[in-house]
Amino acid sequence: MDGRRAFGERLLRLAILAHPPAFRARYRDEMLSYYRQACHAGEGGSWRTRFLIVSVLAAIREGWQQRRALRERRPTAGARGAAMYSILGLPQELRLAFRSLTTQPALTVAIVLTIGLAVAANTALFSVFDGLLFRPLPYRDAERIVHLEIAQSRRTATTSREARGEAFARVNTTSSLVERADIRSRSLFDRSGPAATEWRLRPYAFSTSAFELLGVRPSVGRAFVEADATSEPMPVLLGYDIWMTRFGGDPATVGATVRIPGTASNERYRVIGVMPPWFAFPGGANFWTPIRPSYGSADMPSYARVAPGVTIDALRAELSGIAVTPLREYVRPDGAFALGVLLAASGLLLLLAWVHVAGLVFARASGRSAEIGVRLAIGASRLRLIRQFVLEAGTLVTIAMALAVTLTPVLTTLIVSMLPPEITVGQHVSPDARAFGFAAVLSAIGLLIVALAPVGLVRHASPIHLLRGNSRTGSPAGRTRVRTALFVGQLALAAALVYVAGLTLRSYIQISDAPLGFDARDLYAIQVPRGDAVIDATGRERLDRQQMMVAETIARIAELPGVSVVSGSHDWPMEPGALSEAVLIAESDPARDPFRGHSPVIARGYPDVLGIPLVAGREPTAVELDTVGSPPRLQLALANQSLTRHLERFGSPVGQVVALTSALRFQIVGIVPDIVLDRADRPVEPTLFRYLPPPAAVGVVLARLEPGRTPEDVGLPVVLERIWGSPAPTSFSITDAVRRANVDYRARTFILSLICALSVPLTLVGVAGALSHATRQRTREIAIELALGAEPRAVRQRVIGHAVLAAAFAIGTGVAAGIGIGRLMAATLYGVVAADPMSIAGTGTLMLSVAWIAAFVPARRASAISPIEALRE
Amino acid sequence: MSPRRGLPRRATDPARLLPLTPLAFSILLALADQDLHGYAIAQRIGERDAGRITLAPGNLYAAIDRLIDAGLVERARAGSVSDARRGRQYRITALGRRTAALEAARLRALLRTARRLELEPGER
Repeated sequence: MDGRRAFGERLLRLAILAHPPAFRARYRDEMLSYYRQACHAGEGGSWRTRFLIVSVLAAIREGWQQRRALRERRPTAGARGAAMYSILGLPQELRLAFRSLTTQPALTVAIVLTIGLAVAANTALFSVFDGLLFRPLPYRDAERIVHLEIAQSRRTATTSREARGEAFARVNTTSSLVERADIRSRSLFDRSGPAATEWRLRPYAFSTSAFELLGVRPSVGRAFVEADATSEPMPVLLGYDIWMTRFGGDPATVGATVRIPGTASNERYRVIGVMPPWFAFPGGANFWTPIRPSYGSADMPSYARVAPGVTIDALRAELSGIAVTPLREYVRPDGAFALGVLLAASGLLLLLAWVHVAGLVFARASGRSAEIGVRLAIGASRLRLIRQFVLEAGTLVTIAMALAVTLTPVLTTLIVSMLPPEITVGQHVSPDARAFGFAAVLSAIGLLIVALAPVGLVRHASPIHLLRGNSRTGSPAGRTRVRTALFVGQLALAAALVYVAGLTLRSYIQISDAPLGFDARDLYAIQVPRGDAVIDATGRERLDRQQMMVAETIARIAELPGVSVVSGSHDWPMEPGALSEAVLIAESDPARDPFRGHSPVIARGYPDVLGIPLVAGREPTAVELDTVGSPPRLQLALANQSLTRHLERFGSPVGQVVALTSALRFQIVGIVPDIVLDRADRPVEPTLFRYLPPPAAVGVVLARLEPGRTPEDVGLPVVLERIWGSPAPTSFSITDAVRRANVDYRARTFILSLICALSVPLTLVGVAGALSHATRQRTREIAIELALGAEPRAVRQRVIGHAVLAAAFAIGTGVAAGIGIGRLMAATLYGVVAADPMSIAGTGTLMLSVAWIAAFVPARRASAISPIEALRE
Repeated sequence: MSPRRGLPRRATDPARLLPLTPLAFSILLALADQDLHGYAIAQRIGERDAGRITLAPGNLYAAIDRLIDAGLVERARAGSVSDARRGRQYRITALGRRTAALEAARLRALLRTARRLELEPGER
């Protein structure tokens, strides 16, 4: 019974909250005591229940009526202004703040958009930066996981095979490592087939221990077990995105056998699980298969866990000849610096936004000096007015933050999608609590700036001066200084941003136009399907069939009218990451010093199809290549000019022999110019173009079409389908490949241009606002000048002149800062120096035009001042 | 003292306060011969109902609050708050007495009219 009464009392307490606070303070205890006494005297549970209900309803109804009566009786007249300010509660003040914001909707929207976009851009970039650099890796005991590979040192190529074997043995037996796993990039698909282009599958082969090493489990289904290495059809773990987009997140997918066009393994896979949404290890992987015995064994595990207590240095000493990289360092990007520059740039934008907003709010408060004067005169306290400004600023910032929170995930996704995969290797980036904490700090700072801007005005204001409308008497020198600083600061920041963006843009244009040494136009590549997807045979027979089909493809395409040259290679020009390092040795070098270079594989006709001339020597004839035979017999090759320069020290390059290993030796038969095969921003290294002796088949067929023809035009798809069946491999243009190779430049340019696109209009509005305000302040002065006979034209020119002069100073400072930033980011620039004359000129012109346009409207207004009216006021 | 929030000016002319609500009139009648705390007021009002309380605390105290605002009832002076647990005692003011008398006269007049129209139940 007591429990029930206590419950009733609690309920009544709640209901009493309906009464206005003053009433509650006076009667709450009495009401509760009354209720207790009534319950004590009353009989029967049902009566008590009824009484409780009646009491609760009565409290709510009476409370509501009392509150309504209060509202109706509230004084609103100016005579009771002072009383009003002390009576109004927070909700009323908020409503007042809202109302004052809606009186100037354009200004409010401008401020909200400015802050919202700037905070969103910063939070998004911070998320990316934080996710890639600072956040702990989401793997079990990640600091003890290391990546292992054979060190690329000055080993002689001839001993490397033994060195490798010995290294594997040491890695596999050392007690300093407690867990080992192998993860290999495995090309399962045609790089141009539907699986790669439409499904965007990025496959990796995992040893069964790899998921355990990382400590990651699938969200749905199970990880690999031993039996998966050999079971058919091939088991696969899907990335969450693939599962959602391709299978609609259907749980029945797990356990089902799915067909994926354009893949090997007869296109059939058994889905055994789905990985968590954040898991994309390594390098944005989204399709994991087990390592099959047929992939070849005796490889060194590529990832391992260090035993407790063993330091990385100790491990390195023990495993000499093997590069030991902590996982953290291995996945953290080299591009971090470029990201840092972007973060700094967006920080600059944010600063600009806040300065700009502070300027707007300041101008707005100045414009309200009459209102402030009236309020002060009728007895409002300064504290009250300041509170009002802070509340207004707080409302603005809150709305802007809501906008930012909505935009941040979108922007983050956009930025991540534009970053090259090498930078986001194996890491999932999304805004998290830290990013929003960062945003919160940013907005707190902004709130402070925005709120404090008018505080000085209110603090120094005196009702008489303010009411007279001559606010210059407030604190003229200080105000002018603040205004000038805001003006110069805005322009300088914007100029620095525009300059850096200009540098980036120039460097993107440069790299896009960079001479590659070959003609990418009209050049198309077809990636030949590999593996058992197309050819239903095994072993030697399969190899023969593959070679036959590739040979037929080349022959048939060559016959097509509109095709000028056909050849092949193992990788297409500008294929990302295809050009691997090789250690070369010139046999004519008495010291046999190994040197670094590349050794791509090509077919006869390769220089022709790329449109490069032979500088010396000649291509071998088909007959010559036929008689070469397979290694260890001497093979044939072309050298580029960088390699030639190295060889020239030992005599005429043509005829010299260059070795990769003791069994792989090549005689130079011709010399080609230096051409860029992967990235234009890296110097061309010595390159040995190895001829693939027949009957071995190339992986990529290259075809040069006559100018203006397209693959469809000349009937390429028909030929491919006739030979390879459906789905046939597709052709793609090397021009596209070149564009893709510059993705990081494009990403940087895009982001910086975006930041600039935001900052320039911002500056325009900000500067125009500041100048308008300054002109309004000087109305009287200008009026006197006009009355004394000054030409309106001269007044106009002087206003613009002053603005442009100040702007020139600001732009000079900004560009100087931009050059400093350019120096810092020199590593990410191509073909431009930090002090780039074109960017300086461009920035100067753009920003001066902005200043001129911004000054024009206030200048016209100034020259149109009517002296009589201005002076009469 | 600062003016109390949202309350009407005190009327010195009791006629302006008429008619009283039945509850307000009952409270004034309950306080007519002695000072009482809230619960005792409710008990008196409910006397005919075998001492059972049917009046909700919200209604009672809202009515008392309005009566205090109008100057018809006041809080009893300090010292008479003998039993803190039961709450404060309330006392009728001189204005309250005059108002109650006027309300009684008004009701009497109404009753006379009802009688003349043969509506009073006692005369049927």
